[in-house]
Amino acid sequence: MLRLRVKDRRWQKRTLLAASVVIAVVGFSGCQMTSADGGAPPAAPATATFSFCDKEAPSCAGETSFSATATRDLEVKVSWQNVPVGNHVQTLELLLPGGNLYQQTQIAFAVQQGSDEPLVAIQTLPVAGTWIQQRHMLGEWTTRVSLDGQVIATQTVQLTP
Amino acid sequence: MVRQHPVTGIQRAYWRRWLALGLALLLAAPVIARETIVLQKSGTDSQARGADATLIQATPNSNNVGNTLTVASATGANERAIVEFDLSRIPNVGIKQAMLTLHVTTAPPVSAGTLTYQAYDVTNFWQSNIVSWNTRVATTTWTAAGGDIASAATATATVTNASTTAQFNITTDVQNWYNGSTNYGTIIKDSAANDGFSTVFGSKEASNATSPELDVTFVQNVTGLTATPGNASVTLNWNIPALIGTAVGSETYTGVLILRRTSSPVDKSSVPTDTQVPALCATVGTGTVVFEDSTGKTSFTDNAATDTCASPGGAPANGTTYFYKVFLHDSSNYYSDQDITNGSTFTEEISATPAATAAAQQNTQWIAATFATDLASPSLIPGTVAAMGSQTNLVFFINAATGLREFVPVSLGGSIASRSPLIDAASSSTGQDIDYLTDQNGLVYALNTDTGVVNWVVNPISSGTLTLQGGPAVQLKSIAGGSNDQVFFGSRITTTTSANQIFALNGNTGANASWSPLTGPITTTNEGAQNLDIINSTPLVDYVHSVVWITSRSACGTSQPSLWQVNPSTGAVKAIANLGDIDASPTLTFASDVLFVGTVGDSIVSSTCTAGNSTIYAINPSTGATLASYASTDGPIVSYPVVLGYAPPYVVIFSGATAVHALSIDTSRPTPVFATVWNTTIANPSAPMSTIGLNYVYVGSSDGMIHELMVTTGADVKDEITNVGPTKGTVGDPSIDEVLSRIYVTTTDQRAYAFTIPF
Repeated sequence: MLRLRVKDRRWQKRTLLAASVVIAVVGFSGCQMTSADGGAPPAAPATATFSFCDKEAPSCAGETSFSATATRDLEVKVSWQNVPVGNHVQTLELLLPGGNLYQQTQIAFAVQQGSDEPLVAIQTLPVAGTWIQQRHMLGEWTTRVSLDGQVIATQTVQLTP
Repeated sequence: MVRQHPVTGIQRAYWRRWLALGLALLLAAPVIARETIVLQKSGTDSQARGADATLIQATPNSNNVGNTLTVASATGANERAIVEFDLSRIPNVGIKQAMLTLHVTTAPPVSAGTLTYQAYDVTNFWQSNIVSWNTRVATTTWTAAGGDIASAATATATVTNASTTAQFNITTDVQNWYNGSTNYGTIIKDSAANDGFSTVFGSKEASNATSPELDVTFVQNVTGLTATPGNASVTLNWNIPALIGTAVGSETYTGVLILRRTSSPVDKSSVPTDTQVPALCATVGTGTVVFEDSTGKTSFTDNAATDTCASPGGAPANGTTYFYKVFLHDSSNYYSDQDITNGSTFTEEISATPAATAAAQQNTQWIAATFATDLASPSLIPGTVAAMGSQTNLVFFINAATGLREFVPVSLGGSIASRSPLIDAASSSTGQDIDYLTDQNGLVYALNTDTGVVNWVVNPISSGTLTLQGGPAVQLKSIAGGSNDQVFFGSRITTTTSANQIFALNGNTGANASWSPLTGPITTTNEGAQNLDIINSTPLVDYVHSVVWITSRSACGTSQPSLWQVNPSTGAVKAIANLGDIDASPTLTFASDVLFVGTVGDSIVSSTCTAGNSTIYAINPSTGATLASYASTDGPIVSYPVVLGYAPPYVVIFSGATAVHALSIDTSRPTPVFATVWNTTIANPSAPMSTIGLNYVYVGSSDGMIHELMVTTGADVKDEITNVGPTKGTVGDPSIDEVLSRIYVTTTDQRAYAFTIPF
């Protein structure tokens, strides 16, 4: 299951506004380009950082190793920075140890003009009772996130017995 | 040496002349490929899987399916057309071009000038009888109102007062749909904000002439591909298919190009470039060209005489598995693949292992690339179709005899992580061949397996979303009576260990049964209210006792039930058992006189749920009482136990972490006990698969092979290789097709494989 949220839970309101914003901003990628008169500096490229949490744990801070027995669901959080205004598609791939694709999810979202709210996409990866536990798919997994088809970030996470 | 002028050195007049010539050549060039087809609703093309609607901002919750599609741009009153085509007529092809045409029925006024409309790939699942500006399916809203779309338009088209059509080149999107990406169709919208103008187009529901149209140019795959191993040789045979579209120009299918790789299938990005012919023995990605022909040959024997390439080409060595990928091409050398960035996921491939003796030779019957991971046993209508879900939201329907796609994969709304039951038309209360599925985003589906049409899709709860991990079980009206088939499944709500849910839906409509859902704590007939933890398994319908068996977790302990016996008509919980966490589905004997189930074996240690060893239980299905138990020492059971025998004593076969185990139990005795028959070490085994009367049990492994074990002794008598090379995957739970005497598996190398049994 994949969901997108902002810190202050105003995301729903924001997404309802997003369509009109997108219509108003044609070719949002232009914000990454220097204007014809050279007046505007190029925008910083979009970046993303990963964090992982045991969904049931009271807190998590920088954990990168989880027990497949004790972890019912692993939350994969992607925090975005510098995403330009407009419609976007995030693709999150979870790769098995060895590199084969385990799961791929997509989420569409829109960023409106002037928004400075933190943008976090969360995917829940079922672990306990799934093939991961039953078939011992343990070791170093790789998470890879793309924005609009371009790979932005990768991160590894350990699943242990 | 020829001196080349830098572009900047060409005089302006020449530059213009060359540009004009180049443009003229581009415009005059024909679309070069073998066949074209027009996909449009007509007397011969029902476009059954096609759908369209208008999303209207002014009435954001209304579903607008009618005779027209409107694109409009106005403040607070934008309208967008959403269109999806049925591609079922061309399931096994490489796409070369796809042009979407909308036919204008009411043009914009002259004052509108030239309007620019954009075609966007839709990025979320929607259902035509639900979709609106706000909502895409069931009660689920679009992430962005007005439809979730890609960041950039795939194509644009202009419309004026004089226009009769708007045409969009959506080749890239269609190629991606054939390449493992979900196909949720296309949204057309005005590129300008609030220009105040609109255009009305014909819809699928209107008339044939003005219905949306997709003109596709493609190259087919070969059919009937087989690989026959010999002594240091492999013989490939194939058929060149008949046309299913209209030939382009005078081109014909003239032959094939074959790539070979050792131990693993040729990678998906290893494809020849259209119009070019790589030399024999050349390397194309991870493949070596071992055969190229333009004379219509339909056979090739790979041996020392025909294959003189240096390694990794060269004569096949006995005992080594070779994978062949066969690209059909036309006279202009356009190939049956899609030469795009993320590789081409569907070109016919096959494998064989030569050996000196026939007994040691091996070959696949077919390989179907899905480029999606699934380890559940493929669902079957034996002899007809094998179906497999994926964790990329796709469901594949593969012809069991040929390995070709029955139709383009069906795109659903979430990951499918379980086996989905296929019900043939003769048994189904729908009168159709039906596949029921659950996904991790909480939606439940009924798909027609002959057409891929989604008959119904529901969110079984009125608000919010569930996670559904286990698959559905179906109680057939044709056996159990009642008014319709019923579909049972349970929730995986991990935020609670007490309040999960058990559902029963009408198989014809998706409506909840009168008692559905049962929500924990559940009031039981004899044991009071009982907590219900997460359900990871597929329920089991017990027709003899008229109950449904459901297994669940139990908060990593035995203080709450994990085995549930539910009356399917009333929802009454007749029996429960506190056995500890269960992820495996239960299994009944042929006579339904004993139920077998295996636990996870975990327990709370120092406040943490800690791994342990499975216990196998024999249960009296009339009472739910335990008849006998067996404590394994090999970790948790995988998927489900298999039970062999028409009457006691029974043989129970199950997989643990490191081995496959066989137990016997004579439940006709007053105090039956389990006895070990054999244990066979297999690396990380799948669930075993066998049937009564079969001499072997089959099990997949993380070693990339399927192992054939003797039922009586457990001896590992022969193995078949799926993939043991660089991209080796873990082999999933097998399915046995008794009509074709075949076994099917999927693996994490993102393919499905078929082998003849016995090996």
